[in-house]
Amino acid sequence: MITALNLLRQSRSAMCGLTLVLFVVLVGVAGPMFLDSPFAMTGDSFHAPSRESVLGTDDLGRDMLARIAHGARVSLIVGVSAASVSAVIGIVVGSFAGFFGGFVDEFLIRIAEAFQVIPQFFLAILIVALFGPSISRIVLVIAILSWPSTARIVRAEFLKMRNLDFVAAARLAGANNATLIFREILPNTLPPMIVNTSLQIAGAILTEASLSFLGLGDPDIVSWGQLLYNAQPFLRDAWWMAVFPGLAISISALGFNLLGDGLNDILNPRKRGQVR
Amino acid sequence: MRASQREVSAASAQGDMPLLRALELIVEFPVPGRQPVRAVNGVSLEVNRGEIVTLVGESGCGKSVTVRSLFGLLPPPGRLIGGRVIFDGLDLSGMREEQIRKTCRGMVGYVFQDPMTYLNPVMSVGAQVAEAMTGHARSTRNPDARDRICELLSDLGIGDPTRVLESYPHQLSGGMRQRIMIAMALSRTPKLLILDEPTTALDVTVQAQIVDLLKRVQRRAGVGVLFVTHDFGLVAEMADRVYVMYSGQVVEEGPVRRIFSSSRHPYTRGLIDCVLTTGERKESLRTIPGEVPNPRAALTGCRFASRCLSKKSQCEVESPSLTLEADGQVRCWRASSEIESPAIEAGGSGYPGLVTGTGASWGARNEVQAHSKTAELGRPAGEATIRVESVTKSFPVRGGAFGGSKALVRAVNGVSLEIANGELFALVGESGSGKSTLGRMVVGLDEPDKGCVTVGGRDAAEWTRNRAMRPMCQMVFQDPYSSLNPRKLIRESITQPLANFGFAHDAKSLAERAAELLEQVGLSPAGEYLDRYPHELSGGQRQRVVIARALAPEPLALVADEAVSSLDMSTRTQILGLLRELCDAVGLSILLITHDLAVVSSVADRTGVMYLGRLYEIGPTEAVISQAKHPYSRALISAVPLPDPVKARQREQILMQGEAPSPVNLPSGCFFNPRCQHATELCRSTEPQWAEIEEGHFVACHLYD
Repeated sequence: MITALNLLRQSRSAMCGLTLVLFVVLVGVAGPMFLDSPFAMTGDSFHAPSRESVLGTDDLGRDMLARIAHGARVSLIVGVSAASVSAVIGIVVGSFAGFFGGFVDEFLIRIAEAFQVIPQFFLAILIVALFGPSISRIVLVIAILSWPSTARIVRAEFLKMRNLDFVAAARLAGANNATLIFREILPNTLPPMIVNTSLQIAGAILTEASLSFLGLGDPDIVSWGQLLYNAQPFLRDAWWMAVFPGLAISISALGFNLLGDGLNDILNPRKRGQVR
Repeated sequence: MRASQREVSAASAQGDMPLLRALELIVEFPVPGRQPVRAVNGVSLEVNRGEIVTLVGESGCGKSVTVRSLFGLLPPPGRLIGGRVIFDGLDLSGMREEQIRKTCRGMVGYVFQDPMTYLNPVMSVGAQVAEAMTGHARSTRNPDARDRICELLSDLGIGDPTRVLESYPHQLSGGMRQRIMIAMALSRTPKLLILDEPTTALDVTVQAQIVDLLKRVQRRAGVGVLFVTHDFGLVAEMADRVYVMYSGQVVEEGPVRRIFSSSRHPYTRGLIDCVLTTGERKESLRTIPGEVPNPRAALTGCRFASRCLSKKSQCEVESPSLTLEADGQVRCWRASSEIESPAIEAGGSGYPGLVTGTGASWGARNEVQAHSKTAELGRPAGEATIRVESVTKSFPVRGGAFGGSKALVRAVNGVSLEIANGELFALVGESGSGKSTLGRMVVGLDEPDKGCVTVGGRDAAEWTRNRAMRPMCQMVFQDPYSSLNPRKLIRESITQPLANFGFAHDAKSLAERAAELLEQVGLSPAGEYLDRYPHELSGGQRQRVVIARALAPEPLALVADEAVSSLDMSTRTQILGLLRELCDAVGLSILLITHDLAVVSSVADRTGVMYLGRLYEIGPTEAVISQAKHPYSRALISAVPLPDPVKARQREQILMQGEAPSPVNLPSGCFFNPRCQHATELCRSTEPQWAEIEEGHFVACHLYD
C-alpha cells in the first residue's frame, strides 16, 4: 500500500486524480450516513443554496446535497461494476484471441468488431427502452458496449508476450494452457489493464449519466443524470438543481481520467523517469 | 549557431589541446525518497585528434552513462552534477543540454548498440540520413544531396545505396542498420565519433566487418573515436589508448600495448584473462568471481577490494586515488606489473560452481535405450542421447496485405547429428542459420516437417501430446531477462516444474528441493535468492536460476541457445564452466548454440558449423577450429577478435562479403557459394557431399571432393 502510494507520488496527475476520486468516494460513503434520505421533503421548494441547505432544494423541497451524495454512490457502483464486468469479458476474450491466434483469434476479434461498429449509445438506449431500466441492466449494457477495447489491449499484450522465453520455459516446466494464460502472461498485462479500467470507470459514469438524463435511468434510485433530467424544466428558475449534479459528474469523470493518465505515465516503462 | 561554430574553430586553432577533455565528471540518478545513485564518480578522460580511445569494463560500471553525459544526452532522470567538458577548445560546462547539442551538432557523431531503437521506423532510411546531413528530410529529392548521401553509403560498404535509401529500417538487417547509423554519425564530417557498444548486438562475422569499416573510416577521416565496449578482444583490435572503468571510476589508463603486456591494476588483468579466444583449451576458462558493487550501497575503500586477491587491510578502508605513472594512470594501492590476477579457473576450488551429490538422482538416465538405427554422420563415441535424423523445418510467412501469397522460410534443411551422454556439442552459425529452430525441435517446442528428433530414444515432442510425459531435454535461453517471469519469485519459477512433474508435492519438500537446485548451480546460500524477484538479480545470477529451473525435472539433455552471448566476459566463462561441469559430473548432454566460435573452443567436445539450415562441417572442436576446412568455418574463426594488440594488427582477416541471404530464397548447390571466394560452377549447381577429413571430422565442400 505504501509502495503503491510512493509510486503514485511520482505523477502529479495521478495524485490529483486520486484526490478527486477519494473525495467522491468519501462523499458517496459518508454523506448518506449524516444526511437525510434523498426522498425526504425537508424544506421549501426551490430553496436557493443557503445555510440550511447548502446546495439548495429541488422542486419538491428535497435537499440537493443529500441527493448528490446518494447519487455518488450510484455513479461509483455503476462505474466500478460496469468496468469490472467489461474487464472480465475483455480479459477472457482478449487473452484467448492473443494466446491461441489463428482461427480463434479471427473469430473472437470479429465478434469484438461487431460490437464496435454498432452505434453504441443508440444500442444502449434501445436495450434500456426495450427491457426497462434497472441498475443491473444498465451496468450490463455499459459493460457489453465497452469490453471490445479491453479485449484489444489484452490481445495485443498477449501477442507480444506469448513468444517470450519465459512462456516457452513455463511450457517446458509442464504448465498447461490455462496456467500459461492466467498465471504466466496475464499478470504481466496488468499495467495497461489498470490504466484502461480507470478510464473505463470514467466512461461508464458518463454513459450512466447520459442514459438517466434521457429519462432512461432506474426511477427508484437517485443518480446524477436523473438529477439533471429533473432539473431540465426549472433551468431558468433553479440553476443549482443543474449545476451541482453536473459538477459532480465532471469531478468524478475528471478524477478517474487523471488517475488513468497518471497511472499510464507511472506504469509505462518507456515513460518511467520522465514523469513529473 | 553559425557564430558559435566560428568561435569554436577559432579556439581550436589556438593550442594543441586534446580534442575532448572531460574532467571529474559526476553523474547522479535521483531516487525518490532515497539518496541519489552516483553512477559516475569523478571520471576524467581525454581523446586526442585522430586517436581511438576505448572505455572498457563490465556492465554496470557506468561506461555508457559517462559518454552520454559528455554532450547532454543523459537519459532522464540522470543529471551531470559536477565536472567540466572541454570539446575542441570550447568549454561546455555551464551550458544547458539543448545549447550543448546545438553547439556541437554535426561535430560529434554517436552510434549506439541497437540501431533499431534509434532509427525512426516510419521514415525511410534515406530521409533520415538526409536529415542528419542537411537538417531536412526532404533533401533526398535534391539530386545534389542525394549523390552525396549515396557516396557516403557506398563508402560504408553498402553495395546498392539507391535501393537502401528507399527502404525502411525494418527491411534492413542489423548490420546494415548499424552502417546507416554510422553514415548518419559521419554525415557532417564530425571531429569526434562516440561508439557505444556498436557491435554487441551483431553476429561475429558482421562485427568483424563493422570493426574493419570503422578502422578504415577513422584512418581516412582522421576523427577522434571514443569506443565503449565490454570486450577486451575488440579493444586489442581497435584501440590506441584504453580507459578501464570499474564501478563509476577509471581504474587504469594507458596505451593499448602496455595495458595488454603489463597491466598494473588487478581488474584490468582479470578482464584480459577472461577473454575467450579460439585458441584456448578447456583448462583455461577463467573468471573473476563476484559482482560489480551496487552503486546504491555505501562504498568505502577500494571498490574492487571485494573481488581482489591481493588486497591489504588498507584497501578495505581507504580509497586509492588515480596516480600518474610512467605510462598511464592507475588507481590501486598495490599497483605493479606483477600484481596477481583476480581471475581464477572456472571450475577450480573457491569458484561458485556445480555442487554434485546433493540428492540429484538423475534416475531418468536409466531410461536411455539403445537405438537400433545408425546415422552415418556426426556420430559420437558413446551412446547417443540426442539423435537428429535428416530433419527439415520451414515456416510460412505472410506476404501481401491480405495474407494471400505465402512464402516459406526454410529454416532447417536436412540436418543429422547425434550427441552422446555427457557430451557438449556446439552448433555454430550466424543468425538465420536455423540453429535456434533446431534447438527448439530438440526440446520439442517445435516439431520437424520431415525427419525425426529423439531424446533418450523417445520422440522429442512426445511430451506435448502425452500429459503423463515430461520433456527429456530442457532449455537455457539467450536472454536471462526475458526467460524468467518478471512477476514471479525465484522460488515459484523453480518449484513450478517440480510440482507439475510430481518431483515433490508438499510445500516443504518443494522448498527443500528448490534450495538444493540453487546451491547446485552455485547460488549459495539458496535462502538469499529464493524469495527475490528476477530484476533483483544480476544477469549471471539469473542465468544460473534458469539453469537450476532447467535441471529441476531431471532432464537427460539441455539445449543452451546463445545462453552466454548476452553476458559479460567474466560471467560468460562462469556459465560456460557450469555447463561443462554438468556434462562431466552429471552426464548431461548439452547442445550449445552460439554464433561465437570463441565460446565454443573452450568447452565443447564436438562442434558443428551450420549455414542456412544445413550443416557444413562437423568434428572434434579442436580439429574444427585449428584445421577448419570449410571456407565458411574459416571465416567464422577469423572473425573472432584476438585479445592481443600486436597479433590482431598483423593477421590477415578473412572478411566475408555481405550477410547471409534470406532463407526464403535459397541459392542452388552449396548454400554458401554466393559469399565464397573459392566458389566454382560446380558449387553453384550441385550440393557437396560429406567427406571425412580425419576420424570424426567431416566437411561438406567441393574443395575436398
